[in-house]
Amino acid sequence: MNSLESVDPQWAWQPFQPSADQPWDRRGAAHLYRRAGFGADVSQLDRAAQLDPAEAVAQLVAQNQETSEFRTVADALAKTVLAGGDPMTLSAAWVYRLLLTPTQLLEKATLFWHGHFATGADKVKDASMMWQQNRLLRQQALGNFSELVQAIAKDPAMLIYLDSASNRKAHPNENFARELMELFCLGEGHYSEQDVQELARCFTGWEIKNDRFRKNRYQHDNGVKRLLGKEGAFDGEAAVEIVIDQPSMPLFLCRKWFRFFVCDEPAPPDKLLMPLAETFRDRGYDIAPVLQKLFSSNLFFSSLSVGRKIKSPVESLVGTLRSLQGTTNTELLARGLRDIGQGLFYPPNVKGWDGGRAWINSSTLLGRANLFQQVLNDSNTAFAGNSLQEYLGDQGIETPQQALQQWETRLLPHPLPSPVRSRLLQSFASGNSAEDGGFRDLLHQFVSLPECQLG
Amino acid sequence: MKSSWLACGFVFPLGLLLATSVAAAESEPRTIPEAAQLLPPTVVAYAQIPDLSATATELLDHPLRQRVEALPAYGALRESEGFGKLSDAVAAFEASLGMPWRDALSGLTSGGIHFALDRSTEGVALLIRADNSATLERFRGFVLGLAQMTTGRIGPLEQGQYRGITAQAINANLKMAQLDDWLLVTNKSELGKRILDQYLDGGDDNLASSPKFRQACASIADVSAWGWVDVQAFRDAGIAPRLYEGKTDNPLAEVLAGGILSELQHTPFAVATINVDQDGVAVNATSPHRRQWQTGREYFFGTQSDVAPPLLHPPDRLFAASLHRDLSQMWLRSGDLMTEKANEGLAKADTQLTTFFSGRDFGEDILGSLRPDIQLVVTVQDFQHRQPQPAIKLPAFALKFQMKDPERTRPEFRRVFQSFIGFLNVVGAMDGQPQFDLGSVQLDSATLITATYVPQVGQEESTEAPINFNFSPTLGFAGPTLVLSSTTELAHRLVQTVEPPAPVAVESDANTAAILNGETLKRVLEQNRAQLVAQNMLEKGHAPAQAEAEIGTLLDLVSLLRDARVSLIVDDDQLRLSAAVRVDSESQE
Repeated sequence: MNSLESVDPQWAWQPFQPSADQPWDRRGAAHLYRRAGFGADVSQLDRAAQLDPAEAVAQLVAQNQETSEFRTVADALAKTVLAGGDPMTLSAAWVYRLLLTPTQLLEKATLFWHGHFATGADKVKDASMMWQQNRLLRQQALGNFSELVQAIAKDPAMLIYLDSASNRKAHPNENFARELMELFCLGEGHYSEQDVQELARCFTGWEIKNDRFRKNRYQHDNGVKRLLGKEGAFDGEAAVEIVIDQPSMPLFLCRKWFRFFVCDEPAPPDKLLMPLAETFRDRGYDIAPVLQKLFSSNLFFSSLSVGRKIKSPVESLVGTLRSLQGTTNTELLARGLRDIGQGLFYPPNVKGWDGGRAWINSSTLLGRANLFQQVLNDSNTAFAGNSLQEYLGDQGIETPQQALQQWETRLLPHPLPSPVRSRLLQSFASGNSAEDGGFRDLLHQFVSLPECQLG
Repeated sequence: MKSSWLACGFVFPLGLLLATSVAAAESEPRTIPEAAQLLPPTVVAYAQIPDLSATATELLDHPLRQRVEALPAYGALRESEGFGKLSDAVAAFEASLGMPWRDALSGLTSGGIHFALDRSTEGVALLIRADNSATLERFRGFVLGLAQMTTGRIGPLEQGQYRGITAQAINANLKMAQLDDWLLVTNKSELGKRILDQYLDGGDDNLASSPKFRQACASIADVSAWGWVDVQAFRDAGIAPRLYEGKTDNPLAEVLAGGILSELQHTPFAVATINVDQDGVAVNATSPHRRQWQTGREYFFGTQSDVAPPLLHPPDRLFAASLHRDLSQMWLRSGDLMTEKANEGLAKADTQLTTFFSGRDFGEDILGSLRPDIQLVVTVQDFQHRQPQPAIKLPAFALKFQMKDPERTRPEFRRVFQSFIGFLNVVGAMDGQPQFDLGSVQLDSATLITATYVPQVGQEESTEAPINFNFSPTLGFAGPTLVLSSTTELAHRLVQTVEPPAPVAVESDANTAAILNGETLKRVLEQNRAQLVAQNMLEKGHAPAQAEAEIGTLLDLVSLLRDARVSLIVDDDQLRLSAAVRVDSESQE
């Protein structure tokens, strides 16, 4: 099955049933955690493998809000670093959250929405606004899409980013109106230029004053608008509802989720996505049921998904550390992620990150390897609080063969080819040290492999 | 004698202590160390720990010991693997020597520990003199056993004979030999042979005969450790040439240490002493000095009577520094004092500043209107009753100058200050920063030109205000005194306060002096504890409890500090740089 065109939609979204050919084991659980989160250590994988796949997915989806204990710590950290006013430090606080959050799907979905409703700190410049938006995305990440869009339409950071901080009826700003339909809800071809102009009129009077959203009724155009086949004196909220209720919206969102969570390419045909889109519509645009269906499906655990995504820098670095219970200097990691193309709070433009093959070229591949090396050599990097060798030793791993076997299960979608394994072992044997430095070198080589860039 | 020397080691002792220390140094010159008679005259650096046992006793029996041992971090250290290895090593040492380690250390090093760097062989040597050869023999056995363990070799180590004396190789680089009650370790056989020859044959061709070395020894009193460097030899050999160029890249470095660079260009040698006692650690570095070496840097040294003004001593002082520097002369002579790159930057700055000061030459007219007395002070701010409160709480700081012609220059400084605040308002407005409100306060004998940040609507009572709210830039005039302060409150204090006769003021003849107060440093860190914990979590990936524990340890350690002081004293014959860190032995905190 190499083409998505020939996939039966009914089969695709049926719950996955393990079989002798496709058992539900550590490797399957690792696939789930890589996609629905960032990665899991052995004990987490073992716990998941003892459940059936649907239960494991249900557990991830049920964690739709952070535990209050973790939220208190992570929010306090973010608020404290906000005092410095530097969005890059805020980026480090998010990396801290990514590395330690107990609610992996929630954080992965927050990252998805950050790319979807892309807003860059380099233009907004206000770390506090970026933090407010980040909190909003997290609160609604697995909630209701309609509520999320209503909230994002009033988000100060978003409005500043799209030049809508002061939207006057004499000069309606079309940027937010255009992106709301093109990038956030409908996609190209599902609206006209006139819809853009009319939608922009609906948002007139929406502005940011003293860093807060407010409606300026003197600047709102109270006239009748013709928007997407409807006519009325719509304001912004009503306009957002009209956009969201368009028939093309569920399919548009499901296509984006498919590409983010299932596989980069080829593009899925509409008919394949229709069952997901119907679930989305039938559940009143709640996000969690769609993702639960997606992660529990035959398609998700099939060869059409496993190993068919290129890891983003965040997935690659954070995933590796999480899989090995790693902690590190999050400022170093946040800066490094920005250098190799995925700076948190610094998406490249309003379209967000392209993803897929765009993550990989000779420069970024080298950049990833260098960043891994920096992180592994940093004195603050620890694995469950220990050196890598001590961490491996605590798990009964004494030899490079055992280490490769464990990393292969956690970090690779497919078994490591024998020649590659031999090359790595040879390199380890010819190295100067069989101690911590030797294992760190081995891990660096392992995570720099092309095979390890696939999720 | 030691207590007298100690006074000499601190930066700002009272005149009485200073007088006794100088007297001690002059009346009881140290004899030439015996080890110097074994070392060749080509030695270019020498260091000695005369009585390691006494220094160890000073540390281990220190009144602070109980407080240190009560720290949670100390408990964790005792549990660590490294501490366990150290305990094992000490036990092995005691077993080999057959006595408690402190007794062994006392006997083994009773004649001192001596280090030397030799120019001709490019080798280093370590000489230890024990109170008897039998103890030394046991120690040698311990070292050889350790060497066998670390190299993994079984059987005797490689060894050689020279004139009947056996030398063993401890590892690939180091060789060891025992000469009665002396133990010699060196990395160069040739240097070892020269020391053995001198030991066996005697003679005057040794370091002890060097006039420069003898001159240095004459100035050494009773100390914990001291060292001597033949600066001329390093200069002639072209080692670290940039140190001797006499030019800096950085104007601030020039202001702080330009005179020391002049010294390095000419001085034949330098001596450093370290003393450890219950008060803390003091380091003194001295070198011969001649007035003619000051040519070109008169701005730094001044004439003989020009010394730094007293250190400012307002309440809640964190740091204070005083310098004698003629900044105008430094600015005008920068072409000779700084590198080409630094001069390019200064030339640009000169043009811009001259424009800012309405065409008046910045170096000649503006800096030239100030006397060469510079006082800097940093104080802890009290935020308790302040609104809004910044989330990051910074100390206040101020510079105090004396104007030569206050009537003429006061309006000039006032106008430039107001223009500068206006400029900041324009730039800040473009970045959405809070705006300054300019004002003035007339006091009895002083005037303050103030600038206060205006909080945004709804933020008037915030306790997480931006960092800007640490500042209320203020310019103060009181007679000839000019104060430029980061806050109005500090400026107010400085223009009104008549300086008390500070009991720990700068040494009366210091060219440069500075002091850092430990208690206020801890208060600043406490004020920003949440920030420090957050930074620790981000940098180290720690959980909150772990970060709290590390920052707690940092604050515990800072609470042990009473103060740290630095001073530079220049006279006709000598340049003396002193630094001291004093611990708080009395507090029960």
